[in-house]
Amino acid sequence: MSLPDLPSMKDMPSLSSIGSSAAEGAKGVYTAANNVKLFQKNLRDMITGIRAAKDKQKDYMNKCLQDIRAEVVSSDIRTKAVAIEKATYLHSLGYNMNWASFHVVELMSTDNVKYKRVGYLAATQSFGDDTDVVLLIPNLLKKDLASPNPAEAALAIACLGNIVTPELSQTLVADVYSLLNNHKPDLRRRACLCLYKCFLRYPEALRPSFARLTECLEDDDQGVVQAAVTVLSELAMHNPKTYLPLAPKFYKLLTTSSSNWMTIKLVKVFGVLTPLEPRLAKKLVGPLGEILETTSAKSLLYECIRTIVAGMTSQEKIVRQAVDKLKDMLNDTDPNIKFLALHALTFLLESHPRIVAEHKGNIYGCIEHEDSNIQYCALKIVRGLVTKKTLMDTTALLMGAMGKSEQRFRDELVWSVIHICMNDRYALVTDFVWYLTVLADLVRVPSSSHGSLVGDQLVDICLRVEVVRESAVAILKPLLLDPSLLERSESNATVPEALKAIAWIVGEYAQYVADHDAVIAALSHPNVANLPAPVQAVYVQSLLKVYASAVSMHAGSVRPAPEMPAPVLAAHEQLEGMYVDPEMPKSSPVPMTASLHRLGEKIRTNVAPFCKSLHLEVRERGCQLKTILDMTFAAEAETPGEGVALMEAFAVVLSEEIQPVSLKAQRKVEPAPELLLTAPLSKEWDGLLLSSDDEGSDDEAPDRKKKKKGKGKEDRSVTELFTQKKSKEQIAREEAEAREMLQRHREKMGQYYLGGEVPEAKEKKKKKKKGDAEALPEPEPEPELPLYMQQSMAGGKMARPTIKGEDDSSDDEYAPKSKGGGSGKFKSKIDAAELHAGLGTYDPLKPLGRGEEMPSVEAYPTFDPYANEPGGPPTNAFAVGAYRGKDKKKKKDSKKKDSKKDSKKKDSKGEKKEANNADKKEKKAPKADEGKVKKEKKEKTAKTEKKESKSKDKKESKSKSDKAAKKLSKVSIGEA
Amino acid sequence: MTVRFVLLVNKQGQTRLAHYNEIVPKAERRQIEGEMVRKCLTRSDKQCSIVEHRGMKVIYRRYASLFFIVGVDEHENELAVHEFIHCVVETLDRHFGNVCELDIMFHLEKAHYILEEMVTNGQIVETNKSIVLGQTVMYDPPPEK
Repeated sequence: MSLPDLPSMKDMPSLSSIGSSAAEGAKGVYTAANNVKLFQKNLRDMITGIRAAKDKQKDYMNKCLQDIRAEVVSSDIRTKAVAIEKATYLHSLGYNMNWASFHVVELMSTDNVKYKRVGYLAATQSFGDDTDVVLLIPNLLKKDLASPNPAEAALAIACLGNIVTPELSQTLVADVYSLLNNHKPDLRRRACLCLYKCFLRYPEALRPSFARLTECLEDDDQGVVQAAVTVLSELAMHNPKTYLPLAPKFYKLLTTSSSNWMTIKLVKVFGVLTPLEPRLAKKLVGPLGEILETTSAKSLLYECIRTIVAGMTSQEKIVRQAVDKLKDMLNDTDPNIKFLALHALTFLLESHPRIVAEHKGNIYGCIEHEDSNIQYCALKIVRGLVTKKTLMDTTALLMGAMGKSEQRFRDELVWSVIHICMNDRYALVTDFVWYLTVLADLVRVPSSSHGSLVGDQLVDICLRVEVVRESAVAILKPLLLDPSLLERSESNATVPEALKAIAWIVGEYAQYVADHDAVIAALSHPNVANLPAPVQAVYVQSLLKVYASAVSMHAGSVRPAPEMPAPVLAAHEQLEGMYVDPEMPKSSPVPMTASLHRLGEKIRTNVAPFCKSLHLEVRERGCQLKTILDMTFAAEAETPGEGVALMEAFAVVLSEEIQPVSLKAQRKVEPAPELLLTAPLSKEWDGLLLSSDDEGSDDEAPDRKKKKKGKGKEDRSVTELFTQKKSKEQIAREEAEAREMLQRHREKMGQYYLGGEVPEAKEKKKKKKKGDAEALPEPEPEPELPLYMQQSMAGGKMARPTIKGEDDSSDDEYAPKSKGGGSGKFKSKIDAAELHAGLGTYDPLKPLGRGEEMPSVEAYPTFDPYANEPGGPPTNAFAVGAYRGKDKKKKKDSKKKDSKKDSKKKDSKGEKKEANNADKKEKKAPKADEGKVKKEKKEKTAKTEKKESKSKDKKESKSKSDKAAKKLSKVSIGEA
Repeated sequence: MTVRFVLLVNKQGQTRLAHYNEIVPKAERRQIEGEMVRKCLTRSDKQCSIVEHRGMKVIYRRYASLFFIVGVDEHENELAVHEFIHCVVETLDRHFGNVCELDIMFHLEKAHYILEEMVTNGQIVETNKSIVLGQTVMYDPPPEK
């Protein structure tokens, strides 16, 4: 199997011999190495050993690590391979193997595939962005990618895809690209997938290689087609708008595909495309309906349903069909299928609530399922289904479920109940007394974390709905009287928040309190001290309110006619003037009864502890209350009726109502005329802005200024300045230029045009680029798309719904999705969403620009880092952005420099031996590569030949490149 | 990047195989593995085997004492991955003949090779058992039992 091939490969074994010759220098080491060879433990022995050393596993493993360190430098490749194998195993147990990475690279470069594979596995699993030897492997990978042995190429592809960094991608993407023409379908397939990984790390490569990638959709081999579909769908998934023109191709594949895996991918792509292009939905009804009926694979079925509910809700018939299938899934005993069915139903909530509501019974059942995922999903649906009619039943159901569920879900239930009711300013609630009873029940839910929310709701309703106040006091009183709620315990964690609201309501609307004794006893209960200070303060304040109301009620009932509807303002004056002028208007004085007196005394004694409270607010209010009562009783003792009058006066003040404020209240406040809210802060800055961006068209600027001044338009916005930057001639010139360029490009690369491209698109892009280089060239709403779609896929006459508004809205929906997806979630460096955000700015369907050259196929194998080019300034070829595909020379130079640099780096690290190896390798390489250069020259001629006779027939060109590849392998064999 | 990682964890929470298809730093690996163990192993049979985790979907399946945990992208088809796990197990089973935890422990590299054949660069490429094993066995025959 192993073919001795490329010349540079031959020097690799010598690497290990270098290692051993170094070892021969010191005799002791030599014998040690020999011993190692003889008594080496293999992987199996080590694992058995680890398992046997039960208590001392750590020691054992450390010992193994020491052995491995000794073995890995061995000259014998078998010993080395076993050592690396063991190290990889320990790595998977959590041990570091960075120290061995150089040896891994050595192993990767052997020509025996068996050992090579060990090396590649170790590299795949242990290399990271920070592994410094990654700098050593581009050439190795390059060689293996071009290897005539498909196994080697496959290893290299798999490894590259896993450890790819921007630098590696930049260097090797062309190699992978050229593998798309390999005669082995397996390699073509793998190359496809690897390209995708390269795009993610080096987005510049996407546009040049896109045409070839789409060609793969028509490959003879199904595996390759599938891989291409995978890659394209993956790309489309993140930037659906850009890939909309590929829909006809996908559609064709969908109708012909025989592989379920691929069909799933295709259906999934349509799931993101249909929301953008409503006519696609109509077109898809046929094929998807057929799949729904015929497929036996649940996964495919589910994918179809998901696509239908996501973007095809306008097609009533197929939605029905999908929901019928969902019904079966809902009844399935497998929790996975149940969950997914529920998940799919959530999408239909918006568009087809009625259809979802048909399965209510089933969904309600799921709220009490064992699995929390299912519970949450069902709850979401229930929340979405509620109507005015079903509100009470639904709430009852949710309240019923609270008893059985666990704490987290119970909280969710409480939250849901409140939000169902409060949404849209209580749109669904018709009976507020009922809602109050619900809230009162929610206060009692143990360990709830929504006490304050419940409290806020209570206060809000009492303030806004006048008629319920009386019932509110009656409903809430039992909660106030319940001493168990005052206890300090886990289950009462947030109850005080609600109690605070209740105490306030009872105090504020004390005129509705019937049983003053009980309420006052509850408000001054000794356990109130358990509550947080702000709540205590409210309690104390409520005591006064309730007592005052009790006294005034008594007085009101005794007195024949209420002569004291004194206006509120008068009450203020009374209060202030009380002691200055004892001759206050005494209607008939009512002496205090014994029961009222007793009540007052009770408050006085119970409030005493509050007067010593550590919390200032509580203390102050307690003292106030006590003083007021003292005063009242003193006055009462002097002249009966005086104290009552005093208390009554308080009651009048306290009964002044707090009014709710409308949400829109702020809008009604007129700003003062002297407030200049829209005036620019400084006119000088305007001038600065002008001078900074009008450098190009100085002659115009003063003109405009004059105009503006003349018009007296002072609040010029900054954006205006930016947009007006270009003169008309300039724009016209640019447009002409762009058109011309596009035309040229069209002539040259006509075969890569997907059709339907209207020159304007290009222009726009161009303009934008020039206009502000900072802004991302985001995909504009493309007017040419519908036209294209019409030509390509619509056979019949279809009415075109206005898409503009939709486009806008979908823009809003999708933009944050693709960008913000990763934020705060998975912080991995290679977060897909993040990477795709970078990739999203490249629209592969647009024609290639002037600077964007292909990492062209012919450019590829001629790449030789050691070619003798005149040296330039030392730059780092691996630095991002060093290679922009324009300057091949520069790339070669810098590459060369870099390898030297790299070896220096090694030196400084002090790893002498390794550095030696590296250096020698470096020195040897140019010699060995001479052969390579020759070969590459041949290759080049073959390729240029190809270029000259570039025919539009793709098959022909493919066979040519295949021939070229064969030639290459012949050459290398011959040289070997 | 659909399949982000494949984890094999036993009932005690020990990782038996960890196959990542992207660069994940050492510390993060340990963290992921720990969280997976905590999330998946505590779930009962009656609960569904799809878990949300930091923006990706985690699908697991239990075989005897071994949990096969696969982390995939958010938009991936759960049921397809579920089927894929079974496919992996069947492939391992055919290779080792009645596969058990010890087989995977002692032939970790084989398990890796097999997985690598089936998942390349995070994408499921091959689900045909004979082809997968054909590639793997080319270099070393399956162990005798």
